[in-house]
Amino acid sequence: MLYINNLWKYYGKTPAVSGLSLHIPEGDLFGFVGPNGAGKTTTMRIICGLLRASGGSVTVNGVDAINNTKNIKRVIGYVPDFFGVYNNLKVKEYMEFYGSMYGMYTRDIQKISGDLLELVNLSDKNEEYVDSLSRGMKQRLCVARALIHNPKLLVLDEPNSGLDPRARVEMKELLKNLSSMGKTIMISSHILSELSEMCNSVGIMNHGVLVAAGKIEDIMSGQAIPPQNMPQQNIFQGVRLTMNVLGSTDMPVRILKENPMVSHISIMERKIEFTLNGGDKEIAAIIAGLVNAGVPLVEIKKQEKNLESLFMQVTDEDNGMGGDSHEN
Amino acid sequence: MKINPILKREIKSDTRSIRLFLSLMIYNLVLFLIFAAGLAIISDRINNYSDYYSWYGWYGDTLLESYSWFASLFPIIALVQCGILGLIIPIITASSISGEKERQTFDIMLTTAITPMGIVRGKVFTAVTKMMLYVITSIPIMSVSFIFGGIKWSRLFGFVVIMLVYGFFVGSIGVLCSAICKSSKASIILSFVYCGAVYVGTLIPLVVSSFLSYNSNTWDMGESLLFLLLNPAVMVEEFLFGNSSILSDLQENGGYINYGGITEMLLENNTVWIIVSIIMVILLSYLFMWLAAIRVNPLIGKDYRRNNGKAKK
Repeated sequence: MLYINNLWKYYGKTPAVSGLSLHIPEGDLFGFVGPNGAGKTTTMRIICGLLRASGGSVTVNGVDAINNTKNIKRVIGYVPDFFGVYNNLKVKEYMEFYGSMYGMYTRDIQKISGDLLELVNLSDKNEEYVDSLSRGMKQRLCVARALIHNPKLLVLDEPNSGLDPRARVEMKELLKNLSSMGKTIMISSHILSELSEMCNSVGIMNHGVLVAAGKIEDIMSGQAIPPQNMPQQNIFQGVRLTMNVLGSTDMPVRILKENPMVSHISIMERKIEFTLNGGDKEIAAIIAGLVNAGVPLVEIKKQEKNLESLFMQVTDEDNGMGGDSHEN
Repeated sequence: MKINPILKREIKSDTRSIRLFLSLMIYNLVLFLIFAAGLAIISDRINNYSDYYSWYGWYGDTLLESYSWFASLFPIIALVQCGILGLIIPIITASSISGEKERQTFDIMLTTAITPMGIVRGKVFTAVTKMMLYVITSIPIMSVSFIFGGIKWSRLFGFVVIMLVYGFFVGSIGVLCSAICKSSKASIILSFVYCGAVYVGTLIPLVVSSFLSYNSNTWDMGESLLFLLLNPAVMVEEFLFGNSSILSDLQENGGYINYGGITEMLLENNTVWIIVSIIMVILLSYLFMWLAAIRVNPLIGKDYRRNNGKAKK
């Protein structure tokens, strides 16, 4: 469905997107994550024809998004991170307006609009002014608006920002519904727990570079294919462990540093976190080594692997792109 | 025929607001006061005229002719309308594009199938439609001068066409300025500057030709007068004042002025001049619309150049 190949975007001399290559298959719900300024919005705006790329190619459903911006608009529905609505229009008029912007006939718009408003649970608000809707309702209305022309790809930039928990849950359910209907969705968000619940694949961007992409479970298990231009590395492999000791952390840290299978060590008071490139056997060996050296070990436990810990690991400024240098 | 969706939405939104009706009421009230003042002045003059002739016991055709003075109210009120609307339209169009950006609806608009030119066209047509609303609602006031005769239906129709073209011109400049400026205030000021530049700029070749002919017995204008075809103010003036317009005065002094061949041909017939001027003003307005469309296009406008000016692959 979406093919991005070696995409570059410069703002002046600063690269915002550096050689991004990505493929999103049809029917996928793709989560696009990364810290602020990572290049997510820039990438999305290029896909939607709102920004011209400095280099590379983007194809959506076979349409060249960079050179054929006229046709790309018919296959994409876009929900920006910040958007306004026409408050003095009624909900049905709002839908009619955007339908007519795609050259649709009023009777077709009315039919599709009714179905979409039902999908986003706003069918009872048809005759109400947009002004009277809550923020969450407006967000859902905007999703319905983006679907009015039945696009092949739905691009949502931070759709959950500023929403209360209930509205976020409703939005999540809506996107899950759309995904189950076979719609291809690309969504960026900072709420990683929600993304990991609903997305079947993710891409993590940092400093304009795609540092990880693929099915969530593949990334977690270290089986995801590293994105183009990325060095082979094992940042997603191994387990993250947390250890509590009594007294000084100097000796346990020294022991851990001597172990070639240990990386990404961070210390917070008496708590030491590190990544161990191995399984239960290696964990047992580490514990034995520490106990034999006389380290007063209080607790050691495996951290649950999730998108959040992965994101933190990958986008850690000090670690760069997740290299295996020790830190303390 | 499909109506431009932006035009449809804006008209729908505006007619829901009391502001439009208040502005229409104030506009017509101002026109009525000016009209009433004009009516009072002319009535007073006719009374004096009739007193003068009754003293000599002679009324005749001369007195009847004096009633045709009422018909002169039509061009005066029309000119006042042009002046007021020339001030109102830039204010109306000032936020046409910048307002969408401020409301954060512009990006969504750009991701729809409508082209940048379609957006600009919708905004300009909205301005023209609103202007025509002012013009058409003023017709009952203006039609008082019809009671006394002197105004043909064709002239009234011509007035509506002229106002349409005038609105198109001012509206296209307003939308261009709104696309250029970030704030509405700056857009209004720039609109007046641009309008002034067209009004004054088209006179420059004429002034230059007069300077060049300073030491000569005749004023060798050449074709410099043709630039006035682009001037909507001259177009309106020519239509309203016909035989007593500025260009007619120039033609009457033809013995001292040398015109180029095309100018002479156009000056011979006031209607031809007006029709050509209408075409030229429409073309000029389309040029402004085209520039506005370039400006709002995110891939070729100023934002694109700013983001890519120093780009390197």
